[in-house]
Amino acid sequence: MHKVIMPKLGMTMESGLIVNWLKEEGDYVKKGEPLLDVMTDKVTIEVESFNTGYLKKILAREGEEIPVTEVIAYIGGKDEEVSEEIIKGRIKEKKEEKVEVKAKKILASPLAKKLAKEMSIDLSKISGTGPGGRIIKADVLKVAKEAKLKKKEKIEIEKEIEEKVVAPEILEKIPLAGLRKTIAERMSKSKSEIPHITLFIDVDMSSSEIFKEKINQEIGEKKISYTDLIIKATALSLKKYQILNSTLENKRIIIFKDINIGLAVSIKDGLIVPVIRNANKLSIEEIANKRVKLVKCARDNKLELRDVTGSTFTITNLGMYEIDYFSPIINPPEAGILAVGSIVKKPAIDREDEITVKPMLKLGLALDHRILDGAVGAKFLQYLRNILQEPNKLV
Amino acid sequence: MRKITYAEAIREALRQEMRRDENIFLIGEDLGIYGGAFGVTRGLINEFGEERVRDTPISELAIVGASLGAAITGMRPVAEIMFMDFITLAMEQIVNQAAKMKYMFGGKAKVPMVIRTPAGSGTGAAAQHSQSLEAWFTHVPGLKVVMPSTPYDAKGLLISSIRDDNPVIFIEHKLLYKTTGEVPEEEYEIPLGVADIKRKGEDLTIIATSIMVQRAISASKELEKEGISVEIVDPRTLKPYDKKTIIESIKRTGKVIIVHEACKTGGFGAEIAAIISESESFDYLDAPIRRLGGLDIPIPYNRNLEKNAVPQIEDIIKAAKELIGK
Repeated sequence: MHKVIMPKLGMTMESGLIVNWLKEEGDYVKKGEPLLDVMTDKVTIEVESFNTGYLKKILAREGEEIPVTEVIAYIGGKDEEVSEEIIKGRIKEKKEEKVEVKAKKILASPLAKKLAKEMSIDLSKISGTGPGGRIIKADVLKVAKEAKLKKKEKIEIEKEIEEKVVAPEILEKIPLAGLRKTIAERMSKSKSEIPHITLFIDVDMSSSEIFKEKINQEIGEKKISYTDLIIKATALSLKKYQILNSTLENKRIIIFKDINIGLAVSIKDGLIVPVIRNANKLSIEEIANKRVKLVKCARDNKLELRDVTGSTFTITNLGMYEIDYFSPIINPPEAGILAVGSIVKKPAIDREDEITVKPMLKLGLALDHRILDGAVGAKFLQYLRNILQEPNKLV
Repeated sequence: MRKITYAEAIREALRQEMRRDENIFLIGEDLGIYGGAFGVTRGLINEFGEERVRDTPISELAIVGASLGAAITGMRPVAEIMFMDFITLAMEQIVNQAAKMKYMFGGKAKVPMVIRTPAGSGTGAAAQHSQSLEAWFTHVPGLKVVMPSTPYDAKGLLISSIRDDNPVIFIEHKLLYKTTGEVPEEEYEIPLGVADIKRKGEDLTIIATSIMVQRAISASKELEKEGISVEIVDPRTLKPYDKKTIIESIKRTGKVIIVHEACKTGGFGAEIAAIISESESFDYLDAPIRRLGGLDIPIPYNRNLEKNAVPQIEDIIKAAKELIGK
């Protein structure tokens, strides 16, 4: 009886995948005749028989990954019998192997473990030279040294590549720190974790314009801005559609009772979001007072922690920069954010199908699609638009 | 400096202390005219007389009992048990009486008593005259256990033991009596509970007691030739016990062998190993703690078997190489 083993077909080959047996059990096979296909390192090679005889028993089937030199079949004379032991032995061996793999524990001395932890070295990637293959101090230090060398090499290679590809000349390197870092982290978190859905709507601001002028005349100064109207209208809309005034936390949607509007304010080093608490309960004038104060504090870098915490929904406004509209990123952990563009005079079609010029505003609403769906957002935007088109509702 | 033997160092400590304090007296079997079974007290009877170098009948119980009575009434006895094996006969007085008295009388009774006794094999004296029973006494609160390995330590530790107000089991080794070493002529004390680093090294710590310190030193000289640097720590007193020196040594070397002559099972090495495992030195171990001790058999009379029953220099060298991986 001759053994057919998994051949070593390359210098680095440790095991091979049996792709296909070209002979069946019982087939006659001649020396040099193709016996099976083995895949190694993504290359499939035809393995020839070393013996002439009958393929008596195939031990390893298609799809099995077998270490080199392990017996995969037997070739023997026509009447030779393959003993039960051979077959059983193979099955037993396989079982034992599995158990061993499962129970494999990393053997390392306490000192080796301590050093590995301190140096952030993965012990499972080290082979130990101590008794029984135990990882000892010397093994960890060796790996640490090699890693250091590799890192050095890598840096040198990177440097070389950099030189070769003629990288653009650097003017300045600014470390990501402080507020910039916070913004970077929060925005990455938002964009990577929250599935955004963004809706846009056009708002005719004619009535709001008149309404605003009227109040300013009443109080005798140009205090009230469109922003204040939008804040108040948004707060009222949130009161109506409370699901937008929420957060997703530990697989629960938490809806807030308080409607605290965060207002994104651009400052020298970045962006900050002071909060107008319970905006739905405040009058337009109260909102204006708060906004003016908070924006001033923000620009003077005088905001306190309580001024910037607890917002439940954010409004971001780039209207003053003549931006028509934009798609905002949610300020986590909130459920939505409203983007306010510029109010531009545009031709609009009124109820009588007449083309008239109207001050138009485009609002963008980004929502956390995990919490709610587009239809709710759409209703919210409609409601918000209606308030701004009939601002008497604000009083 | 002058070199004298371990036995002479002990005799000198006894003589100088007896000259200093007339309350100190010696009591035991054949101490006087015969000078003790190993000649340690030879000549002392001539200087101090039969009153202070007292020969007793063959009763270890009486020796220790009489010493205890004398100690609590103001004397400072130094008793001798001829072979440590015989201390079994005095256990009641040592364990139940001497060790307990200070505690049971609320600190009002003092027991300034030393029991000197030679332990160990190597003299062909067979199973009843060759044991190392120190671990028993470390298990009894109220006793101090001292095991000197050199003439210098023997003198200084004996003087401290005599001046201590607690019962001290002072364990000498038969094979060490004739070893020599530098010993100052004047009196000096070595505090009880302070270990000594007998040799500085980097690769491996050997913690050894009594005769095993000498064997570890011999082994370390051989190992040095093969590039293995051994640190040898001698606890000197097993109780009180100097954890710090041992822990610090292991933190430097990461490997440890504990060697004693007493049977490995239940030997003091187990206690040392446990102390190491429990301490911060655990995280510095780069190999399992290795213990070398006597076989769990009565010491054989046959010389070859006797030698094989307890750790020898070769055994220490072998264990060290295994631990280092050479």
